[in-house]
Amino acid sequence: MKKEITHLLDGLYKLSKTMKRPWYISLFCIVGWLWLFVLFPSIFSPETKKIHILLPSLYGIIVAFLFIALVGVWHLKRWGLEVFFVFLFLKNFIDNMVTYSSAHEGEIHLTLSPGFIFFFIYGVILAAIYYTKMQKEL
Amino acid sequence: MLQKVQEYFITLISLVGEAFMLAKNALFSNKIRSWLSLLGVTIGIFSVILVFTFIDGLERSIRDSVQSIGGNVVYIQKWPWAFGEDYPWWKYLERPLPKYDEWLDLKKHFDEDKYAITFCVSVFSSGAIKYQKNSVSDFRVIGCTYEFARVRGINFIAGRYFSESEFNQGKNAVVLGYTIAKNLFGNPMYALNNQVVYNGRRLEVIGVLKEEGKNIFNSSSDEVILIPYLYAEKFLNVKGESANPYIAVKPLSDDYDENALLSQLKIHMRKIRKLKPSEEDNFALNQSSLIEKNTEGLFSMLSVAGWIIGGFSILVSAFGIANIMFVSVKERVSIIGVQKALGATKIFILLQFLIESVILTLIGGIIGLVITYLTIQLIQPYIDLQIQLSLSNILLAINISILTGIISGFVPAYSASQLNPVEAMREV
Repeated sequence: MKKEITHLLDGLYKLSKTMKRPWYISLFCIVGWLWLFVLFPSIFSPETKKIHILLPSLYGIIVAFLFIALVGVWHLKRWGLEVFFVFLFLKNFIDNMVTYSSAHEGEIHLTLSPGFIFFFIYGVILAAIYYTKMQKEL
Repeated sequence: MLQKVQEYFITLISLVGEAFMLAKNALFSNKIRSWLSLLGVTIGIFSVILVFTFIDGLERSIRDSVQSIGGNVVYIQKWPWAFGEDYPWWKYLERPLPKYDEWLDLKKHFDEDKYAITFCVSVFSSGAIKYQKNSVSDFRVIGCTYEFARVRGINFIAGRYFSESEFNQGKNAVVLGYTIAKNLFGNPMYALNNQVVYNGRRLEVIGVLKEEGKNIFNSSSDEVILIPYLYAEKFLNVKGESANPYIAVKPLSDDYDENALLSQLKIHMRKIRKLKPSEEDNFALNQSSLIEKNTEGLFSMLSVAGWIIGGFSILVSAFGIANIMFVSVKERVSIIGVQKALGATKIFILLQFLIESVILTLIGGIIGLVITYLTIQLIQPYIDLQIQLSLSNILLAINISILTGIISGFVPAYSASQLNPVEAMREV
């Protein structure tokens, strides 16, 4: 069993060496794009519009930049990962502001959405492994 | 510093202008391909915005209707407005109807300055109401206490509501709904201080209600007459189930605790009806605000339906736009090479194509908005719902269009910006 696992890991390592982009970065980008696709209807829903007329525009900008950032990560660019983190935090900050403004006075809701937790942890691991190998230029 | 900002601004303006011209060229050089792709954005925006406009209209209509039956009002009635599954209807059947004496008792427990409490019965007219040769039948007669106007917040075009002393005396005063006053007197303003005859009794008109129109529950205050309850009970059958008696409680300021009010009402009503702790409530506390809350689920479903209809269309069109942009990049490889050789940066090339893509989707979105506006104007006369294209929906359409443009155009634009100038120049 141990031998088989070692063999499988060895195979995956060799596969990742032959590919230009490691599989975990591809997975990160694909899951990220799917997440943005799912977010699309919710950011433009009548409920979001009711909170503030400009909130869908703000979320739209964030989604656009997250998409662009993922394209950057896909092309193994450092700016991709940097922009992704900035807009992931910005989205979570706005989510919290929205929850705070709609909550009762005096209550502060500091929530971390499952999407934020997943992409933050995955992003940190990805950065730790691969950030230095990524290209600096645009 | 200021000069640098100015330079950037001028470059951006020229870039947008150039991108607009290139977008125009892309539209007209491959007419069928381009317009078919734009059609996707147009249909998508049209579907989503039309559904959202309908939702806005419906919400407004429901809000107005709830206001017309009294916003934030708690109704104490025999039957609840909403039933769960497997509800024991036979238990509800045995419940007593709210009574006038219960209203008197309940009033003692609440501060008059903070809460308006009324008792009402509503019966369908048994005959016609007459003035000289004119008569009107098929209307509702509401027998109510003097606080009804405060609870419902009714508006008058002439006259007033009956006072507490007129109510206690059981005066033969009547407030006419707009349509009834119009049909009896021609001009509703002439109705004041005249006497009308109903069920052989003479009633003095002291007020005429403002025209309201039908609400979403298909009822209207235009076809009702209001008389003091103590006068109504003399000649109308106000005791039976058909009279639909209810007690309504309205907090007079917004600064109140809804749950505290409900529990207070529950405690006092149980005390008034002498219910033992082991016995269940034999009354229902219905809230008008719940109608609004209950419809929120329906609106969410409608918006999801709007996204399913429009979303796929936008998705397909996004692929179409991406395709156009890839072709556009391919056709202009040599130009990109020349631009790069002359010192154009990657970001300049990227923005050039990105703006072009955004302009394309924006054109599609604006056409979709125009079609939505025309459709609304076309169907408005045939539906009983006030719908209008709001600023927020226009902004939403523009947002969706721009976002679609960015998402579908970024990858081709990025690939254009990454081209090697030497290899690109070979294409010349």
